[in-house]
Amino acid sequence: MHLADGVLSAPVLLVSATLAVGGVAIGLRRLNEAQLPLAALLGAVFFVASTVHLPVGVGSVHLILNGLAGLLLGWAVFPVLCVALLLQAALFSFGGFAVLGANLLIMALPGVIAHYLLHAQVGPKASRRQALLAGAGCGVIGIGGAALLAGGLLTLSGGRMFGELIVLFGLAHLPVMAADGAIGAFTVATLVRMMPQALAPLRS
Amino acid sequence: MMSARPTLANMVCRATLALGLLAGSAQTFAHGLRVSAQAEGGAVVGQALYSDLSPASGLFVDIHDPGNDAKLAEGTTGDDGRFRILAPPLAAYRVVVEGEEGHRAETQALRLAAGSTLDADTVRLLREDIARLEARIRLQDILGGLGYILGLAGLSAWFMAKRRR
Repeated sequence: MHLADGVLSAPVLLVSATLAVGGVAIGLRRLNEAQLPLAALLGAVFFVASTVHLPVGVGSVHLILNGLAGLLLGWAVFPVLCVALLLQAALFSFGGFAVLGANLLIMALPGVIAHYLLHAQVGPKASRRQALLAGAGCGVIGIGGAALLAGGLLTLSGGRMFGELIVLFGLAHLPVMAADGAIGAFTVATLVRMMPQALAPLRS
Repeated sequence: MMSARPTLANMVCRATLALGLLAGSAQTFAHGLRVSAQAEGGAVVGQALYSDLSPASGLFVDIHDPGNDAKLAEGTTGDDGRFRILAPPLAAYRVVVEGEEGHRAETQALRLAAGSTLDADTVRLLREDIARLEARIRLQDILGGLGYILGLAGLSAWFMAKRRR
């Protein structure tokens, strides 16, 4: 879901870059010392996940995990994914530098939304079912939101039909959403059961 | 509640498998795109690949004049990601490959010198090999990126520790 350089129009690029800078600023202010190792870990996971392709059927599936990172980090997901996307653009030519702001917005904003919608579900008294659902919700919100945003930005840049794009993005990312949801559910459920203190910063 | 546990985990697993198989045929698009091309006779011939080395089929290919940027011809990539598009004879072309889902890549398509002893098919195979090497994600790049993330985390931890004192 990395948009390439030269696909979006200049006003869309400028507005999304401005919004992304705002998000990074908020995230940097919110990022505290206790969260830092988790932030680095999730940044590394996001960076590596998109390079690992698991063959499923005749296609291939890979993880994005922006929703899970968002749930665990809140606004700090912006600076974390900014670094990871920058490295992906520099080392793998995924996306591009001019379009970095737009790609960051596409990936990080659904993560922040997942945080606000789901962080109440993973409290100390969360049942296993709640944790599994919250983790799976991360995949749905993270990937679904990213597809909606990418389709929206492409439509705003002109020429293309939003409806068609959403169907296209949706179909293409169903396997990714399923993989993200499964890994998210497993991760959150395991954290709630085995390391509930890891989720403590979420509740503060 | 106890009985709901295995069922739910089971359901998640099944849904994952079903969705994966259902949509497995759909191309996953979240990769970089690379294109290689060259001019042969009255046509521009080339191949487009995603960074997982799967062929990029069904993308739009535009052939531009590198001098004034006018569009000379257009076409689409086939199932194997290859394309052959007729274009008015020029020494070089600018080839832009674009998919509807935000992928875009461009390259220069050059013509072999007249009277060259090189075989056009051989050169094309070489170009495709080079493009494949370029598109492949290398382990040292992944490790290098992880190193940057670790370094940045260390730097931030150091700043935070200094600020606390």
